[in-house]
Amino acid sequence: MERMQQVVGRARAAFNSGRCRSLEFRMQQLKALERMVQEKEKEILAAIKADLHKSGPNAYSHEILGVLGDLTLAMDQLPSWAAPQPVKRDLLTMRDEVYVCPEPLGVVLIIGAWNYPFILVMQPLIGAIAAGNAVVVKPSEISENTARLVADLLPQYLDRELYPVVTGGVPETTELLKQRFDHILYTGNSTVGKIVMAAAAKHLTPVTLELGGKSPCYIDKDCDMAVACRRITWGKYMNCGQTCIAPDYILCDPSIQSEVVENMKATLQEFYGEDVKKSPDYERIINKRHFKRILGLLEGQKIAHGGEADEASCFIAPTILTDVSPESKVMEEEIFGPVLPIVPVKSVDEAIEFINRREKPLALYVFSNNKKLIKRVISETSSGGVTANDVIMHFFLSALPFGGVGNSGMGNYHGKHSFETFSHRRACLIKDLKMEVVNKLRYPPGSQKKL
Amino acid sequence: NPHAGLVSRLRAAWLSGKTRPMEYRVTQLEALGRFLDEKQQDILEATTLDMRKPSFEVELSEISICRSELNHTLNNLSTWMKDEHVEKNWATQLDLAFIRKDPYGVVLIIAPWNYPINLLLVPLIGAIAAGNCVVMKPSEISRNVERLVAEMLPRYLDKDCFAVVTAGMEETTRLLENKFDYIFFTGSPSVGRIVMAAAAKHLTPMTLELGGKNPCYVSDSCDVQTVARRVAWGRFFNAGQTCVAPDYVLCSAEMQEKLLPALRKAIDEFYGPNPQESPDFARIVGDKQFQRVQALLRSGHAAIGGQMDAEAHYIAPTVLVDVQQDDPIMQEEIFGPILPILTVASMDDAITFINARERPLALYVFSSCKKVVNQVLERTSSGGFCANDTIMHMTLTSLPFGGIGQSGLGRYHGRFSFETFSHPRAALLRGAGREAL
Repeated sequence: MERMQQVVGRARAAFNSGRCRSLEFRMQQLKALERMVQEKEKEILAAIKADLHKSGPNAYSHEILGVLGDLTLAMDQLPSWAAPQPVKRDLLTMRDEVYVCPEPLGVVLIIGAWNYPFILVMQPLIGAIAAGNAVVVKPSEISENTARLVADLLPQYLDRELYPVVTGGVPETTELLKQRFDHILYTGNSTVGKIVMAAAAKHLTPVTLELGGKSPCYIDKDCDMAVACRRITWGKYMNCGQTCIAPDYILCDPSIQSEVVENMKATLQEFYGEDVKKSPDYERIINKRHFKRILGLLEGQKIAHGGEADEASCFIAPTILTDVSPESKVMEEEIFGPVLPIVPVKSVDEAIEFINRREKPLALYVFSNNKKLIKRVISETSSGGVTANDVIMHFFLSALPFGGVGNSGMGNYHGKHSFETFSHRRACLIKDLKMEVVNKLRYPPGSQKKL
Repeated sequence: NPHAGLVSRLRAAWLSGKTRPMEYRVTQLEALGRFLDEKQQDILEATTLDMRKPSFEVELSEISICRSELNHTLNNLSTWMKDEHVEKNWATQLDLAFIRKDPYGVVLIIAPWNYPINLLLVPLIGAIAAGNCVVMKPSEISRNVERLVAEMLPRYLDKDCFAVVTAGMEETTRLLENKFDYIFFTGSPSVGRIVMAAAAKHLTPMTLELGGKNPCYVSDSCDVQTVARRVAWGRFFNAGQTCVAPDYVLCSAEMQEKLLPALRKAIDEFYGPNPQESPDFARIVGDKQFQRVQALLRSGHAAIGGQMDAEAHYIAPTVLVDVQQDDPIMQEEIFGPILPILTVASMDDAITFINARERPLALYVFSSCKKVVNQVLERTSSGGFCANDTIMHMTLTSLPFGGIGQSGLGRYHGRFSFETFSHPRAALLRGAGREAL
């Protein structure tokens, strides 16, 4: 597929022309992107609705708000982010200029995911443009409406050679990955993450992999149960559970299990009404394949709430499972659906041990009034990020780096971290040709005196 | 899997939480300091045996640098370990938002033979400081240092958490089959690719400190003798076996005429009329490397040096002229005491020449004209950049050291070492109030 070679080649030639280096140019592109989001808001919301059955208000708060926020931040901070940073000098370099200079990497590749199809290409794109790179954007073909829209819109607002959009499925992506990039940011699952990294290894291309896993949620007996359950319900069932940092499963003492269920049921009623299927605020599973996969996880489980499904519309009701065994299928893979297993554990020690026996998750949640307990859980576990007494929220603070560890990923982005991910921080030492006498100490012939 | 037992032993130690408290890390780092002090003589002997490294060079480039990194780390560790509080937005004003520096777990450090102590210990300092357990793989090519490290380090460091593995190429490949939580590799780009491919199987993050051909542009306006000394020092240190050595010079034909006698003078000042007799000039590390470097002498012709002694692995400090772009010496990193000079008509031509090639680990410019320095800096890309000297940018603990493109990914030294071996974990601690939000 020469097309991939041509697209990437054109982007590289455009990058080499030097036009995306000036701050003015980058600002101009970011401003254009902002105009795009504002002018085409309706079309963007419609595409997301077509892909995920997501209501306008939900799509706006999940996907558009964050993008506008990142754009504002980038345009505001770019001069400061891009400025050379002087660093501490030592005795031998007192008279010299010593600094770290942020520079673009070159041509970067952004591979998006289908669950938040707009923001997961836009947020990395903002950072990559701000850092002065050319960017090849590959939205997920599974969220086909948003992919098509992104492919239509970006060329209308941005420099066409520097920021091409490539559409297609596995064959196109495989061909794309054969090309040489200077950084690849991939959002998706660990299996494909390994393939991306292996392809990158051939060119020694650095990668940022935003993957997933099973994000545990520990509920302590001593917590504000109503608040905890409301927040967990919100984070679990938003986007029909198809969120990389959704609380995947709950760990709690068996004595509070039914209280958790009752509280969550009440919240579900509050959020979605009597008939969830009719609520405009409840999304659908992205496609039949995932629908079948998620339903399969319910086999043999105790369904405390929900379980209803309708294949024709890819609808699965918000579901809660109780007394779930750690060995069951639902505890093997990332659920990525509106099914919440509760696994009873007798103590926080058991919870910590349980978490540590498994792959490191992208997010970890703990609900407790006991600050010491929270600190302990954080200190004795590892995860991409942590939110205590809430879920999801660490994602929205752009000053916090967003990324995984171990199987849940490597590298991070958001806010300034995006800029840094897509920059090379070049060490610079500017000396002059004077003061040669000082150098005599390091020149041979060697002697004890010199040392 | 011959190393599975070792890796799982270290992983069990990691899970016990032993390496996490600051006191533990400090104890281990201080033990490393004692190793440097007490085994200094052994280090000098081993490096002499391996490649006839001049003691003078070993003091500067192996021992002092490690000591300075160690002191810097011990002085700053408590600051680096602190949670980094971040700016909050309106919704999180009453919360605690910070970045926690978590150790990765069990990390692997693979070191090369050219600075076998420095390039093993400086990453090790970062890995220990960050709270990890470490498997170290020193180079089998610098055999004596490998033996020293394998025998001695376990006497200073906690054997539960730190292990040295001796292995050749094949065994190292088997070692890489294990899952590590971070891999730090210093070596060639071709092996770097192998390491990254192995890391991809386990989704292991890494830092690769590789190499390339570091260009050195000398403009027409400069103090030629000073330039010659600084370039010669950088090129011939460790008999050229330095990843940040100036690999080749670009200059005008007029400058070449001035540079040659100046280089001759500098070499004479440093090593005397017969460098083979100087105690301050190293040797090529082994037969294989000697054959490789020797073959590169067939490019252009030697204006200075060119003498060899195969048995002693000696190649004289050599400067080649009339070198063409397609000559063998311009196709690979030289890693030997040979400095080719290629003439260019202008600074623009030099920049075009540099940009047509892979991005190097280091880039050097010599000029008394600020404009020239700035132009080259702005119009090129490299791991690091140094104007009017060579090598020195990597001796500052405040500057990140690493490559770009084929010369590497990631960076370290000073605080950057600590950060390399830490996972920056986002943490948001909320209260139960303000539910209305």
